[in-house]
Amino acid sequence: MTDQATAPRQIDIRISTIGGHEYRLNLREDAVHLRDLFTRFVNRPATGAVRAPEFIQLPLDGGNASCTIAVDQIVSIVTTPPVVIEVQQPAVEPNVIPDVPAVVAPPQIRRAHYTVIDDFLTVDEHRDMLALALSEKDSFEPGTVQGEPSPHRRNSVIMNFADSAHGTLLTSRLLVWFPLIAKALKEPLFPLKTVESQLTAANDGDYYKPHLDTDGKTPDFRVIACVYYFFREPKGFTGGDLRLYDSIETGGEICQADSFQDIRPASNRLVAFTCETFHELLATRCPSKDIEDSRFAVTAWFHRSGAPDPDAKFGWGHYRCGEVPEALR
Amino acid sequence: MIFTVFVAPVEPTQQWRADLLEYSWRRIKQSGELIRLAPTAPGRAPGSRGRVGRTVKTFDWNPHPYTQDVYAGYQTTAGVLEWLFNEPAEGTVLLLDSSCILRHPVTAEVEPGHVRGSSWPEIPLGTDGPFGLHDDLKFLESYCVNRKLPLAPVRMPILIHTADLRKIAARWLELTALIRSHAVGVHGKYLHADRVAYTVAAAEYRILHTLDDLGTTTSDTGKDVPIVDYSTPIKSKQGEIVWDRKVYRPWEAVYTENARAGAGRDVLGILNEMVTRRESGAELAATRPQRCYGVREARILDDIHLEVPGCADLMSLNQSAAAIWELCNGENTLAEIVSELERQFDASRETLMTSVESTARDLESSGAIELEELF
Repeated sequence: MTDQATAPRQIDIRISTIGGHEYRLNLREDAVHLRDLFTRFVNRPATGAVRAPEFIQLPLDGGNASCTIAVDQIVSIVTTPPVVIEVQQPAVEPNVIPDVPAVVAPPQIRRAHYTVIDDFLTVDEHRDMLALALSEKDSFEPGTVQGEPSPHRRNSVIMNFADSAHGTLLTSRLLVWFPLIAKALKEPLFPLKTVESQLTAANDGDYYKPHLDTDGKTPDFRVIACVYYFFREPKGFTGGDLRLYDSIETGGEICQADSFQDIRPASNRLVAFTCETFHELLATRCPSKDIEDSRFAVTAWFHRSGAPDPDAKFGWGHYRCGEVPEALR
Repeated sequence: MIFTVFVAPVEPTQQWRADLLEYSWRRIKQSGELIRLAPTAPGRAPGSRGRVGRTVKTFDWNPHPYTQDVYAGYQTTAGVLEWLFNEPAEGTVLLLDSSCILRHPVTAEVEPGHVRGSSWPEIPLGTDGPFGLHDDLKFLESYCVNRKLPLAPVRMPILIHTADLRKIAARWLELTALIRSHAVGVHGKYLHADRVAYTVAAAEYRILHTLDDLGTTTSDTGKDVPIVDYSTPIKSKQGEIVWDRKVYRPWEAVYTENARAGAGRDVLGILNEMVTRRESGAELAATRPQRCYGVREARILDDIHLEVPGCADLMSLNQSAAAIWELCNGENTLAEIVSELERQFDASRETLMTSVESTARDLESSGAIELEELF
């Protein structure tokens, strides 16, 4: 298992307030407090605006102490080294007293949960999967986003892979793992509807910008995503890592955090994560540009059934209400 | 490091077997760790944790969650898969059935890629099936990519490295279900589907096997191997059944003299040893109950109710259970609790010993107390 994360830097911060006071503190660059500080500083009420006073609480001495500052008293913020923070715009019009508490709950950061299973298929199954991808190389089509070409995504795909013999093979193995994967991702066992999958190939310059795999609103939606990697040895590409972003939850809204974990695609490896995780396919470099040298992957999704079995016991009956693949009937 | 691993669901019929296996394990001072995988429905406690062994709660795969097939063979594979997925254990696993005892320590460890397994001469070989298996298993051609791999005719007990067990466990479980779903054996569904599935899965992951005399059955009179499986009845010289696990009532003393000398008599000898220790109170004197962390106690009038973390239902104690619970102060052994109750109640020591032991077991199974081994 290989998990790679870029180590966040420590940022020295000096906050100047009205009256010439200065506060110094040290935060990691991915700290929620840092983003929160800048967001509130940028969105602080204009001079003379009628608005309830707003405060921000910041940790000092490694969290052993804290200081509380009135946001409208901040004059400047100096950081060493310089940092670039993407701030959120205010959701309410200025000059209006918002119907919110004077001190709002700080945003919550949610770590991206994932699990890695190596040697996912047997030696021959893995080789067979590669042989299939190579034999079907003319069937790959440009990837789309919601059925349309998009600058957000560049790779090749064979849709509806689950209907094929190889798709069934992968689905059967995934079903064996399903309860353990769900538990590892801290996802309560849910009624299964189906397992959807598609085969993708990432070649030179291919990528898929940060996105979510579900809107969570349709009745039978995707809950868990699994990516099974395989490719020819010796490896004909570099890059193509899977980047899983943490997320920030503020008042029911979830947005992508700056912090992330990168997972290297190893052949015959499966990576599973929840569909509520912002993720990105980093650019792949494939000097030969031959599709045979691509980083292949089957991406599969466990769908939740919209109509679970009311007689389900101990979380197990849910299987009976879903579609069970032929292989396990 | 050797992990001795067996599966025993939380059932009364399984408990005495788990206890006997554990007793035999500590009796010979087997090195490493003893792990009981306990398939448990969510919301229930995993049951007795044993004196020296560790109980690992796993998902219940009997019946199979997709096919609803009732087959105990799923539990071993599913339990092993879950244990090794959740824990970073590394070393040699001695995997055996719960109907086994250890006569001698197992000291040999194995490297990844090399398994030592007990011989399985009854492997269903044939001419037309894949892997050289019987025609009944021809359907496997649809589910296996390479059907010409040679199979190792092995069965549990096996010595296998955790790295190998991690690789094959999911495929082993999947194949077991496929064989149970498709193949029809002499008595209906394949009774040894899990064994066939193991050999196929191990072959598919290119794991090599060496046949090893690790275990034997009760009918064996010659081999002095470490493990005995007592799932077959023990017979006399004349061939009469003198003991059968299916009808044994724990912890009745058994007569060893009538049994034919060999592995079967050894099983009865070890069983009797344990019965004697229990009757003498030695087991109780060596066991100290400790209240589990997080258990909350509520008193309503004279009744005591316990709230155990992770359990859905409140546990109500009867009068004797309440008396025992109150004496579980972290210092008293079970034997001392018996002595104390002897002073308080008008009951014989034998009755109290039985009562204290069964109540302690129930409290332990419910997750309210832990039983600590003192020596």
